[in-house]
Amino acid sequence: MAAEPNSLLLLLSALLVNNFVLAQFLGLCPFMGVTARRDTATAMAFATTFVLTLSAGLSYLLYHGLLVPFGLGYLNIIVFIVAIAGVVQFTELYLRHASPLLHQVLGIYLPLITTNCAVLAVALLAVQQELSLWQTLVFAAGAALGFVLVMIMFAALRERLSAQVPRAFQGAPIALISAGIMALGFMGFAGIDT
Amino acid sequence: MPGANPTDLATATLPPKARSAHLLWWVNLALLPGIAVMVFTLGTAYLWQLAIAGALAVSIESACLLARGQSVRLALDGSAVVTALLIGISLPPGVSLWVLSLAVLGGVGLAKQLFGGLGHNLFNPAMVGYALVLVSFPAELAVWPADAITGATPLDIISHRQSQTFTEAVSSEQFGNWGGLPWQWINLAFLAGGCVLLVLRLARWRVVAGVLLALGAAAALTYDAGSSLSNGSPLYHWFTGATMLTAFFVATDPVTHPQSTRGQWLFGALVGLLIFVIRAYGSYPDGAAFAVLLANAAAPSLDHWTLTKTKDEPEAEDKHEDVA
Amino acid sequence: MSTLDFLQPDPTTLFEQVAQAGIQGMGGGGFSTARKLRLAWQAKATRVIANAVECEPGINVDAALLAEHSPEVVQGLNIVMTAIGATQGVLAFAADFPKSTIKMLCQQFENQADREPDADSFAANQPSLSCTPITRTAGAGAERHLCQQLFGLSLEPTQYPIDRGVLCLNVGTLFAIQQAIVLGKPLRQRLVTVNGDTNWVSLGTPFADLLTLEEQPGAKTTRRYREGGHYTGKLSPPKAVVTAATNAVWLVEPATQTPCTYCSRCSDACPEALAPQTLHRLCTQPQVGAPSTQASPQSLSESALEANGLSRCTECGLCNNLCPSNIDLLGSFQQAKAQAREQALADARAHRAKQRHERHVSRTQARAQIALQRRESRRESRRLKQRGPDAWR
Repeated sequence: MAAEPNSLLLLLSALLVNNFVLAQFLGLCPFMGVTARRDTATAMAFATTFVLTLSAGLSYLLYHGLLVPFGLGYLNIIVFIVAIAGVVQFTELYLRHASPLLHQVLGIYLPLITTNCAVLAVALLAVQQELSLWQTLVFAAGAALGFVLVMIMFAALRERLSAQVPRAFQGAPIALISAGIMALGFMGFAGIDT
Repeated sequence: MPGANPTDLATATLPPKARSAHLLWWVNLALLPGIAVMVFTLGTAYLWQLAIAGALAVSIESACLLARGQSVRLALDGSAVVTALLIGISLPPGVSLWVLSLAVLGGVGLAKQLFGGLGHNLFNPAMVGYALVLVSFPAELAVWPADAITGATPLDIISHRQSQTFTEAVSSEQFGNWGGLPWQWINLAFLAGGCVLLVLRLARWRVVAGVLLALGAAAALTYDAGSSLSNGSPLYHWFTGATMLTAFFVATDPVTHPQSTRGQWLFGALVGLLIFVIRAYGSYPDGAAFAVLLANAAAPSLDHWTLTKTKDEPEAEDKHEDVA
Repeated sequence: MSTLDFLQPDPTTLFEQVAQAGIQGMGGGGFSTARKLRLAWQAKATRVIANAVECEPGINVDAALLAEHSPEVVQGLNIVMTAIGATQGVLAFAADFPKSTIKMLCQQFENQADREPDADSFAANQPSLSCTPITRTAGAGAERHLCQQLFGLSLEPTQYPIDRGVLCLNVGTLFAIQQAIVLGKPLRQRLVTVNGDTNWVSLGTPFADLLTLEEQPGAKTTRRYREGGHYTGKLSPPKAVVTAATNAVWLVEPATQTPCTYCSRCSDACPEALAPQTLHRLCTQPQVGAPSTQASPQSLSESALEANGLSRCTECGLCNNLCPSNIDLLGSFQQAKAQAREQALADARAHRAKQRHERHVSRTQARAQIALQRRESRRESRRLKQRGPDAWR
């Protein structure tokens, strides 16, 4: 990826070309786990969007404001994990009081996000690519929207899977094959971010 | 009152009913004009390729049906042959046998039989097979016969031209008036075959219209009369590459497109738009296969969103109150 | 003779007579005619449609009946109109009936129109009678379509014609009413189109006996019969018999079912603009993509069915007969509807039980609360007593 990519390309790249789920195989756990039903998939996807963007911004501030000045860059993984866990917990606390309705919708999915590798990956990749704060946020938003896109599409797709699938392939196998074919489709976007 | 028989309607026997297998064979027949032009312009290698693909598809399908304990006669319902023909047409003539076999296996075996056979596949089998070999062996698929056109398709040339303007590139001799020779004739032939499908109601016209209108609109919006950065005119996009084949024969696979009317419009438009985006900005010269696969993936969502809601949740709750 | 000679002063007596004659809707619905008349009388229906619009090929009973017995049908219409106090009667017939029948009908109604004003002084409003040809299209003979076409009434999906003051009766039913009231004959036979020939058939005749007359007796076990016309007819159970609602019987070859190809023949033809192919998929496919631990996949597909309009399906069966893959779409819909009904009943039961439990809980809590308060107040008063009145300071 270019050192100074423009924002739109950065967004498209994270959204489609290097889609976190289908091209980089991150966040597969919720992708397979909660897409059996459309409503849970939607709730999870939007909860992740929220946390992902927030934690990416926070990680940037922590890394450039705290770790780099003290020469502690190598601690980034631990610090980011703590930051993500903190963001998730604070988000949950805040939501419970500020918007009980939203809390009810996102409910149990918020704590699950702590273990979503895509969230950590966004923070780490943003640091690795030396993105600015604005670019980090755009990158995170693109990744999150890409996550939402494939989660919702895949949940609807899974509902369509037939009972005629050979028994050995029913359940997770055919879901993974469908995801593979979806990823094949996403490979068609190769090159539109340059 | 015996023998009271005033109208002819009563003596009529059951009206002739369409049969699924017959309908699917009609799709094969409708492909013939396009195939004929392809064989004529690109060489008879195509015929062999299509025949091999067809035989392979039927045998793979038979094997799968046997393994699943179903009637082997289903393999001859025409759907496997449609898939084989579409794969055979998409691959360049004279492509290696193993690439062809792999594509057919991916299409019929992976994308169709593994999902439960005819009517249960979520993705267009032919496009899965084609995309599979396209991303795996790009070099094998880039070789088009030298006697028909010089090595590359018009889309390749447009995609990889350096500083030539669009008109310069297009004015070279392998280009015809619209989409480049012989592609414009091939596309015209598929258009003719596709009209048969529309008349027989084997393809939903909304999907076809969606693809062509969206592709044309996207091309028209970004058309700048042929500079070196131009992406080509609507006419060029309509009559080049696999446009007509995709619009009439691939996107219109009724199993994998939405069933609601608005969903079909949106599905078609999505295919058209994605074809343009991948052609104009992506690294693959033609994006039809990917566009169809992506739209297939979106089809269940489109179906869900375009559903006409009849009852709301509160009403259901009211019912409970009444009962209580 | 005037229609009124046969009329009792109290319409309910007539309804009783109709009920005793065992008359049911003979257009195919089979609804009790006496009940329908009573409903129309109570709803003060002002318009009566005599329905002779056989809107699909393969049924010929209305045309045959009108060709021979149109005076009796018109008399039946008069009886019904007078009984329920309707002011407008319309005989709707298919526009492509034989010319001779149509001509006769027109004459019939001209006579009626001439005669009616001086014939009775019973009704304050003079009834008007007319006949209207209706172009045969799929579904044109359905009650709500006729209401739309004749009177411009568009009914809500939940409404019946009677809710808008329209009573719609098949001409066969009117003929049966006339026979019952005028001649005292109960309903014992009806016209049935059997493999294309329309004949009078006794009710209760097994389908197999209808066709042995003209078919070879061999291979009887594999034979199936279809009841109804070519569009909306349904495969009958093996031992079906002629009922009041049987209008046609056809011998059919059993067909093998192949997978759905989503060809949309059914959704193109569906009179209710549903998508039978989608409904069928939802009806027949369990959620295999979903792990079984997820909450009630059953209710999920049920809500999807509801959203796709399963309850709007009138079970006309057109989709079944058009399906190129010979899929029993209608059967799967009927099964799903039955399941949904059971589920709704079970839900309602559970809901009631839950409410009962909640009321119980709140009652006990309230009681406990009151007891607690009493205890508190007693303790308080005791405390105050011990401390004496100075404690307030």
